[in-house]
Amino acid sequence: MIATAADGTTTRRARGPVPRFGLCAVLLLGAASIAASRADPADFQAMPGLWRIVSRVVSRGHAGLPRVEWRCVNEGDDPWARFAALPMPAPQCHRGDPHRSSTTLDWALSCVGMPTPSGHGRVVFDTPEHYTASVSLQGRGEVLRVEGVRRAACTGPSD
Amino acid sequence: MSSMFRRSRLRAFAVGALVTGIAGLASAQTVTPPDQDATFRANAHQHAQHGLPGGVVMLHGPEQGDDRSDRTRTPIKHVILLIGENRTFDHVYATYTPPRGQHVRNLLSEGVVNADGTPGPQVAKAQQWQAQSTGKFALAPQHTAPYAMLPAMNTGGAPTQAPFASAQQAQAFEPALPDDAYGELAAGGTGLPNDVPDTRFPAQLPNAPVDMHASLSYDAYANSPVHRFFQMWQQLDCSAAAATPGNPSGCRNDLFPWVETTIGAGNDGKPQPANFTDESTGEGATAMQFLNVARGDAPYFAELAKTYALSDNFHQAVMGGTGANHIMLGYGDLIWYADAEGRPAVPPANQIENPDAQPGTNNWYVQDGYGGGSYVNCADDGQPGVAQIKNYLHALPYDAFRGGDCRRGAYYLVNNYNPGYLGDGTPAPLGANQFTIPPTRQDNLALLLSRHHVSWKYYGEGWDGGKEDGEGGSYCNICNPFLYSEQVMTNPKLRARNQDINDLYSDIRNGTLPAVSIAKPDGLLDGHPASSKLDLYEGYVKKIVEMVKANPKLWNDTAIMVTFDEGGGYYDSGYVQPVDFFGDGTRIPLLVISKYSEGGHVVHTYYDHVSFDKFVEANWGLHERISGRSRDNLPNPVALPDDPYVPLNAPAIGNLMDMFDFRLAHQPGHGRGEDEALQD
Repeated sequence: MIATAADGTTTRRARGPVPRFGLCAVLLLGAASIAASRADPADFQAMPGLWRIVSRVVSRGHAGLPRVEWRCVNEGDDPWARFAALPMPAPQCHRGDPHRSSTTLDWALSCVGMPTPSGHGRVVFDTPEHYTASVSLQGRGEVLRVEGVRRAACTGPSD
Repeated sequence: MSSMFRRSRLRAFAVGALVTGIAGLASAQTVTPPDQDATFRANAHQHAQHGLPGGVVMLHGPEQGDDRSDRTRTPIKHVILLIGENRTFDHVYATYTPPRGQHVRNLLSEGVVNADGTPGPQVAKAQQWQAQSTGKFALAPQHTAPYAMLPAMNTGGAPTQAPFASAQQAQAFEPALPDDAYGELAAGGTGLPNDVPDTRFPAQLPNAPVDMHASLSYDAYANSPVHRFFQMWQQLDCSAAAATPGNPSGCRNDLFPWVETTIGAGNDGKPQPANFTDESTGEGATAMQFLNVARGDAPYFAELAKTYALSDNFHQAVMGGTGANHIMLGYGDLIWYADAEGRPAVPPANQIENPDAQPGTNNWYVQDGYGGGSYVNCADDGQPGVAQIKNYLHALPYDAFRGGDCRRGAYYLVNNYNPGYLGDGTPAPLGANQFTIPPTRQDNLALLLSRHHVSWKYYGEGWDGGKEDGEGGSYCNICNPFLYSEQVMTNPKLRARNQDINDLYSDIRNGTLPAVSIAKPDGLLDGHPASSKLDLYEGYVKKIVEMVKANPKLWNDTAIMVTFDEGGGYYDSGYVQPVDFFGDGTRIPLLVISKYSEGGHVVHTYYDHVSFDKFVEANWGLHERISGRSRDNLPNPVALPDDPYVPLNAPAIGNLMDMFDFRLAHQPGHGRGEDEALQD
């Protein structure tokens, strides 16, 4: 389903108008779960399709080897589950305080018992077909860097 | 019974041949002579050998290079196939009344419904049953009792709100509708949540087809029923023991809601949910819904039918859904899971179909679904569900195509998986969690046409130069048969023949249309229930038809064929001829719009999607089939005048020549006798 763009972006070969994400009420993010608020159904600008997602662990400012994953994102999928389900820095870390705009997902991390007990995660879409994401810990800076690019269409259960 | 029936069928064949041999002047709309296509092909071959434009060979304009696109056997120099989504013939034309002198087989003419949509005097013909299937897959499950009342309708995935807030927003986004149709993209939401009983319909529904017009605006979004391979086989409920002379395949079409409510659109191998009810699959009896043209639904398709030619015996070629039916159109066969050398290989275990019932359930499959099983090794009778279908085929009073066999060791894709290539030519990622079929080297229509220097294009709306991101990413990748093909997608010249809707418009306006065009709307306009509406597909078609008619030169030699990929799982009452392991399935509409198809004729010759390939081969005189295994090798049907729907020489599919009357072509030296040879 294509939703009206929150910013009114409308071009003939539109990239701006967006699929209607966010109909799921409760998310499971990685190993830890949080209850998220019901999303505004018309405001998240990411395009359904096949995404190539490259993740790199960052240590002391240096990005490690890329890990490539392909993911099919369907109409109606929850953007938190599709784009923000990033690996936790440690098993004792938990997510919370989720915030969402039409192009970003933000959350806080709390890691009980670790020397760096807090951090945050962020996903930023610069176009409906490209985003970057990162996870940072207080005192250590960025520990995970992610880039996602939509590469093609993808069939889904509704086809 | 089987052998007795076989004898009677052969007798009928002989009588049919005699009758049609004597009565050669009988209407081609109602009688299909014994494979006149063979004569036609022989004649065409002779003309082609000499390279002369005499007889039925007609050239319009000089050839360019070795392009043979102009060398046709009829006045048709361009064919455009428009493919919508998911509507059976009865779903669209249930109450259609053709012009005087024409007959149509639909729910109204069969007495199943009245013109006002209420149950008719013969409603029992469409009675739906409950059944029992535990353990091994049952092709024709044991009936238990007819439904006293149908399961309640369910909203499923139908949208609560329309996709756009206004017609203006829609028009800025979507290029493929007439100007006055954009309001349809801003209206028609259900106002209801997903997957709940659809309270727009009565809670109590009698056991009969359900008139949508009585409950919904034609412009309203509605739910989509299951349309998957094993499910559709069960819904048609085919048994050789139920065969009759009028229905030699014994398909009874009486398990539609039962399959919807017991397994629905698959389970990806998950166990049956607790507290499972008739509404748990999110469908209820959605399959029984039909539109009512007698009360104003589908007005443009009704107008086209009254003005041009309509087939009431055109079939989806494969049981089930979108991907497999588009593949069959493109290859005349289904494609299999291949290794890097193009040889049959074994797919990941979680991607192999298993329609056996999970223990303790009634028809809840072991493994099936978009994120589950979709491959079948149909050469191996030990694979789940295979022997049941092949035993049925072997019991038919005719021999299935190639004996109903499949390539040894090949796991065929019978449901929707992503094609082997991304639009830019990159091989798609594979693996147990990707649900993507590897690239195939199997032969297809594009390769056949290219070999014969006949131009072609595939216009998929949203293609955007291969990025597949136009119109918000609503390009249908599984619909493009050539996205699966290694030979097409690794050849830049062939890959470039994949184009977008605006390229189609440009080619129509500029007179640069190729000989063979296949065009697909985006997901907004394709007519697929839940994600689209039929009026939107009508608009997509109307814009193209009017554009072609506005170009007199093009209109003079172009045929526009309008059909659907499949019936979407909606009920249909028509005869089904199983051709091989994969289908045919239910009837779907086919309209042919051209100067040579005027008059509102209803054509009863038996067709399926591969009839389009046969038309192309016949019209351009290719003298070659797609492959040795493709269905375009099937003969044209032979039928009796009093039952033109059932081929006596089954399995047989026509080449669509009956959708035309080329006697309307006034060409010097173009004799009528030769024209008649062009009928199928």
